[in-house]
Amino acid sequence: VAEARVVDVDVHHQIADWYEVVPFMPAGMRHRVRSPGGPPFGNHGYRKVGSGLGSAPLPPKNGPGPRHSATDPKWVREAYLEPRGVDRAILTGQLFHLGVQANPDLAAAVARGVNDWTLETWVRPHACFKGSILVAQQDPSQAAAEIDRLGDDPGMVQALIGSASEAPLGRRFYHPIYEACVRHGLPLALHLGGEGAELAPAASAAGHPSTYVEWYADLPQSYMAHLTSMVTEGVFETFPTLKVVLYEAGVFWLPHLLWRLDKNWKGHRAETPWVTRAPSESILAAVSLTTYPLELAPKGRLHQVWEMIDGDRRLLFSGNYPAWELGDPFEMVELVPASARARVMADNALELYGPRLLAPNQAGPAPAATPPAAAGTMHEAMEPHEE
Amino acid sequence: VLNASHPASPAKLHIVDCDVHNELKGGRAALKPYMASEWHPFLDAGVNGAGRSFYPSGSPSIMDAIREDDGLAAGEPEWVIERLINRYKIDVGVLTGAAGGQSIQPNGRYATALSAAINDWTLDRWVRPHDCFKASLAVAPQDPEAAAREVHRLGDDPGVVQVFMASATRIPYGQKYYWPIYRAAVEHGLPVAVHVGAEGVGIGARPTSAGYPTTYLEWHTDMSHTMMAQCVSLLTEGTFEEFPTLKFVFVEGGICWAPYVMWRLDRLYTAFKAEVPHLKRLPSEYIRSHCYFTTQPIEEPPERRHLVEMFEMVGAEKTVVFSSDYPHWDFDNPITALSPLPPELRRRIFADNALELYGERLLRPNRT
Repeated sequence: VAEARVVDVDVHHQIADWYEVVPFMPAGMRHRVRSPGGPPFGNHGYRKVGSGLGSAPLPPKNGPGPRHSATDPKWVREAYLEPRGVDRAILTGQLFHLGVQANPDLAAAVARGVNDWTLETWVRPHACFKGSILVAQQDPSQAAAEIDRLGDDPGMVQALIGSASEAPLGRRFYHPIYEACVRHGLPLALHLGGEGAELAPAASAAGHPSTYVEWYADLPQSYMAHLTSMVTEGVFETFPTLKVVLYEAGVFWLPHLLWRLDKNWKGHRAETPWVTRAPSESILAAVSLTTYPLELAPKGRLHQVWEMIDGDRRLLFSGNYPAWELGDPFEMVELVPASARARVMADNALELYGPRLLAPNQAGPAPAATPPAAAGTMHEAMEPHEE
Repeated sequence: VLNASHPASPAKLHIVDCDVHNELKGGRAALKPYMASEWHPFLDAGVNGAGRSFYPSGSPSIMDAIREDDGLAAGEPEWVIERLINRYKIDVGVLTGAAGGQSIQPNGRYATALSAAINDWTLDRWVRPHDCFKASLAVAPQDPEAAAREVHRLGDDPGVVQVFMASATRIPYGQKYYWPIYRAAVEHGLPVAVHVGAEGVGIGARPTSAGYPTTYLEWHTDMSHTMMAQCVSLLTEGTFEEFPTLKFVFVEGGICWAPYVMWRLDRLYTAFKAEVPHLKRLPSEYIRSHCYFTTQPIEEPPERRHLVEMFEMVGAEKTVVFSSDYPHWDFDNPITALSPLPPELRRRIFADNALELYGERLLRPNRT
């Protein structure tokens, strides 16, 4: 396609069977994936309870289709993307707690394996999908190396880390990740969801939330902490071209942050002399937000906030397939001012991601690993190999 | 004895300042006469409220408010009356100064004793001699039963207008663990106030869900997160269903985040009611009927009308009360602060809402 009507920046593709990923992992780490369910990730205890408001098109139970909703690229294309007119979908997966796992080498190996698996099985066979380079921030040098390894692949459009983090992302420690993003002209995506897991602090500054509802309501606060950190530590001064996409947090929290941080910066900028631009200016130049889930606010209020944050240029349509419990994402964007609809549905994403969003997914450099093993040879593939 | 300026009737009320930081002149030693001898070794050892934070700027005072005699901007009631109450024609100042840190002291027994001493000192030195001041009743949430006893001990004192804790916690404030405190508060008709400043020290959770900030600038900006989290917790735990008359005051944590909490939660609640069956209304409705926010440090948007719009979203005509934060560096001068707001809304924020929040006791003399 020469142009796109709808770009969905958030399709959570799923791994049905981790043994498919194993062959793409470095040989010495393959034995750490011991079940089809994947490595024993540390996670938090928050789970959705209840049926929710909406339901994505899902394969019928016990039908001929895939057993899980977002595990089969062809099915997702035919059941969701085509009927809804989505021309490009950016894959974000589900591993938002990868950056707070205790073992940085295993986390890096998993990221590498998942990235190659995504390219091989989703992106290269299907022009409609684009990948995110998943990296784990515990070890920024390995994260940067992974961005360098895949950063020029036409199938990859951004780097992706979980916002669940041991430390705020402005710290100098993390800068190699941003340097790598800028080197390849890739936006950095942050996705919430691992907050409170494993190495992460409690999912709120007041301590551990009790319920999924409470936990999910608190999640934008980690974006606030990361943005405040990135501004005050000078990330946007050091990397003025860096773009950041904040997924799934809504829009109403941003004005408070812009205005509070600007005010504090005026009073205390002597403490951070390297921050030479007003924080709001840096944030508004760098940050994009996604539409799923827009707050359940009166439409007029959304339009007021829209103006406060220059929503026309900031919002990207996100479908959050296959989880539509908070509502149908296409109905959600009907809250968006009509004049901004085309920008939100496609143009903003085309501007942010550039020509590679529409470029063909050519076969890139072949993955270093052996091809996926057939089921019968699984045990062999699971054996630790000697390098 | 009423101050000359003290209003006898609601109609004469012009400005209520809901956050005045009186200082504990002489440090912890000043509390010795108010504490049993078993606690004196703690005071002698310098056991502090919460420990100190590494963030270097602290919360310095306005330079020209510092008194030469003691080097303090709020060490003596008479000085605060001169520099704040009379200068800005404030009718009542709600004192918040000496408390807060006790909330996250590791030793709950000591924190309980410290709270009681702070309360007696505040009433004795500041409130009973001056009707223009009202006390916040410090309690130690480490021991909710003991905190409830402290509320019962002083909850009907005419000088006391609210129960007071730090916004920094290890467990969010909505949880049942704290409910004995709220039960006692509503019994005495007292709101419960939480105040920022203890984030990142003592036994509190990390000051953000992403870990520790680096600078004072960053830390101070992040302090509103505990407020958001406390608000979300109170709304989702059903605290306001359990205590339909409970009022909660969020002091010095900003205001413009409240619409995010209201409407993100409304969407979640609508989708996942099954998880929180103890809630009977949309979360945003509880905010408008139970929550109050103090103004300072007020967010400063580049477009003045954006502040008005935000205030409309949070129902500021009921939920927002004025505070100056005297004598801290980011003091909001009541003459110039909130100038974008229309006069009727200013009137509500500067006086009427505080009267609704604290009730008639705001106007009563402090000595019976």
